[in-house]
Amino acid sequence: MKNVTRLSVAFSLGIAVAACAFMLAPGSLAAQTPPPPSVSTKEPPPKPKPTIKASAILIEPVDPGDVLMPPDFQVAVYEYLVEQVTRTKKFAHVYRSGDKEAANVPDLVTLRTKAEYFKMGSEKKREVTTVAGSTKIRLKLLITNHEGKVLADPDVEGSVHFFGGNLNAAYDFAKNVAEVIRGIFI
Amino acid sequence: MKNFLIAFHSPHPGGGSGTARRALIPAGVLALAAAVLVVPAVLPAFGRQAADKKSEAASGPKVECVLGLEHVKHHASGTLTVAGDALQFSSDKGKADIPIASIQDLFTANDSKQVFGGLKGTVLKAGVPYEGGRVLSLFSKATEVLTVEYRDADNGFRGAIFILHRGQATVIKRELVAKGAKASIPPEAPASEEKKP
Repeated sequence: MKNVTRLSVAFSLGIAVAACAFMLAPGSLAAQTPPPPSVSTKEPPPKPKPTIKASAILIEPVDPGDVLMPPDFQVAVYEYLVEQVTRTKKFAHVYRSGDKEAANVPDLVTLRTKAEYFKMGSEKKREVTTVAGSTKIRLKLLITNHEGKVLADPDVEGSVHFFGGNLNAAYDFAKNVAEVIRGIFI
Repeated sequence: MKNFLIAFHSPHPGGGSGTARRALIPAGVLALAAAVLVVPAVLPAFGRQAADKKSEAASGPKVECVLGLEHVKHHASGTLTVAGDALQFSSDKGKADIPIASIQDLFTANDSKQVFGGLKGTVLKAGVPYEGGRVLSLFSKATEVLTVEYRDADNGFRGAIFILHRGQATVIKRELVAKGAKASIPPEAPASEEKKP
């Protein structure tokens, strides 16, 4: 009787071990079933909350630096910047460079842009190939407070890849800058 | 042509030339009908062109204001004139003036060529990595761009971009500079002056 009991225990243990081995095998069905979503999908790290508050911003014209950028493109970047920064509604006043009233604002922040890279594409090429002919720009953003302390200095890009005129790269850049500003200012 | 005349004025009506004449008559009728249909359609177009030119001469060249004018929507079309002491953009929806005294700089596509072309430009371009030195016109080659940098009433910096027909931007720039507008790159001399010995 004892032998029978031992045999049955050993048999059941063997089955249990075999089942475990089957479950843990890399190609097994159990291994293929996706783990619960809470474990597998990594959520993007939460964006840091905006911390800086300012009632006004002064936008300086684009500094082309050593990059050869047509004047019309520089002007377009500037005008789109003013437009998009105004649309963020983070500031009570958006001042243009040289504005007389800007000097009287105590918590004024200044936005400067310096060109780092510019590649002129071709609208025709984009329309024909949809691959070649993209226009790209990259500018260094410098946001400083009234004392000149740097609050942020990210590189921001703008491009137009498929359809649209070359100026859309300037518009794209300005929209990206607006996104940066939304992330920095309360 | 000679053969055609011979065939048409043949003294032998019953001969082979008579057959040719019979064949030519419907063709002539068709050509006449086509002319009757086409000419009235084309004439007003010529008239319109002439009228457009007249109105353009009177009110200034038709332009597109891409951006940069206060109270004017992007890509508005209208006319651009140098009226008195201001550069005036007029469209159906209103007017916008840029006082000539407030203009800080003026650029045309030709200026870009002057800046970025030549030996200095070539050397500069060679020094810029990742094709950064490649500069072309932003807009179509059939058009010319006039970029105006100016100060508004609060002394704030502004830039306006206009698209004109080829050659017109230089004419307006020349006119503005003659009236005292600042330009870091002087406008090109008119073609007639260049031809003089």
